[in-house]
Amino acid sequence: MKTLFALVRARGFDQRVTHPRSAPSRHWYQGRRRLLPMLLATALALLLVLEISGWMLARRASPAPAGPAAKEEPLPSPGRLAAAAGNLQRRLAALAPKGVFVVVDTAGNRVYLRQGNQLLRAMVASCGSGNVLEDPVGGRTWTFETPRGVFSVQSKVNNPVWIKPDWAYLEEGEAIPRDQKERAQPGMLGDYAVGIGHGYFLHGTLYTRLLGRNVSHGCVRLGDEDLKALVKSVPLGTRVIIY
Amino acid sequence: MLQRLLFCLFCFSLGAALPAAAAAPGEVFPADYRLLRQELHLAKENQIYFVFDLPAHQVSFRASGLSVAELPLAGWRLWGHPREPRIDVLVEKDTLAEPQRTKIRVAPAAETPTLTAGGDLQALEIDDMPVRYQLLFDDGTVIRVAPCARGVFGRIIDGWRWAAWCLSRPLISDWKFFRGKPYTELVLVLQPRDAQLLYWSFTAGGRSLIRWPLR
Repeated sequence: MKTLFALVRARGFDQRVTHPRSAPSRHWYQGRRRLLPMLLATALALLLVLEISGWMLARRASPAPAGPAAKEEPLPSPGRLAAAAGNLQRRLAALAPKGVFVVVDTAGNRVYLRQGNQLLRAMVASCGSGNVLEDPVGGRTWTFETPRGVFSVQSKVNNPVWIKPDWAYLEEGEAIPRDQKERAQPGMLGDYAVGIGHGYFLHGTLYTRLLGRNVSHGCVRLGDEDLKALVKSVPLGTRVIIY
Repeated sequence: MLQRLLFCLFCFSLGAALPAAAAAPGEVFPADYRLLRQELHLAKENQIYFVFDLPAHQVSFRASGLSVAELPLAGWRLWGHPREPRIDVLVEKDTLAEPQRTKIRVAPAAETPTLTAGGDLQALEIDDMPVRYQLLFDDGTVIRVAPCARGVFGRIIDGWRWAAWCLSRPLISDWKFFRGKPYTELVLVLQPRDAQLLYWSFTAGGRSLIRWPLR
């Protein structure tokens, strides 16, 4: 590149260079002078070819690669396609919750009590903080995240007692007690707890001022009134959808 | 020459500032039937799944065939060819500024606890989520999520981004072709909050369906 610039400057762009040149060297300089535009034109042409071929490739149909898709069944005949699609829609609708169900929006920290498309109650909650706690001694790790997915109400407990787990002691810098009875913490979970499996609950909280923020250790915290209404509305087996 | 080039680029960016291409209304009945079949398969799995419904201009979060949240699309555009209806599995989320989880410092037993359940608000919240990112699927499909441009300046910047996108996609298609892989990229334009919500909710391993428009 340095040579090219030097050549261009020497050939005439730099007016200060006015050395008389012999005929063969002038031809040589003229040839080199055309080199830069030619290189640019070639590069642009190559780019153009690549762009056009890319556009053509993008418009070419490509088969879908194999994946975890449903087993391919042959399509019904065109005359029966509408009826078959209607049948599929009915089967899909049959899977939806029939009665009341709970939807938890972990990003917005909201819990919705719904029946079909009807919203029965919207509640402010506190979901998982997403923080990570590592046990420096035991090497254990906890991620305080509310799990996403479809769960169901498995238990309803009045005046629940929190059995303080190891991570709570570690987080607070306290020694982990050997006696299990020392772990019992009544009143920490509010008046009710609704179990959804895997150790997760929708329960009350002492920290009501933090409702609406992601501060919990994975459970869903609710205010007293909302929790009471929820417990009254959801029978065992009610679906809890968390996203 | 340079002036003409600049004028062309200016016109190009102005054109790009217009709303993204709208979906062509219409139905491909066999494709819809296949999609329904795939959705039934997903709904039986009892998990959350995501449907990118391009003709309806929305992304919906569904469980058991029921829509629990819907995010309207402000626009979308496609590079490549729409794939056959299939269940796409999210492999990775790619962004320049990935949100980081806070590691809780464990205090020694003798030390006064500095972090309590309610006392510290260092948490991963929706505001920490990016608004511009890519979702990479198992079949190589890429969904690029971008926020709505706001203001004239934002629209012009978006126009330049679009120009760069249009110029770079053919080169990626070429590169993928030489590697024997087809390339399909979908750009979704969402409201910033909705883009953050999608990033939050759609985690690696999540399933989704894309309903393509009639071409």
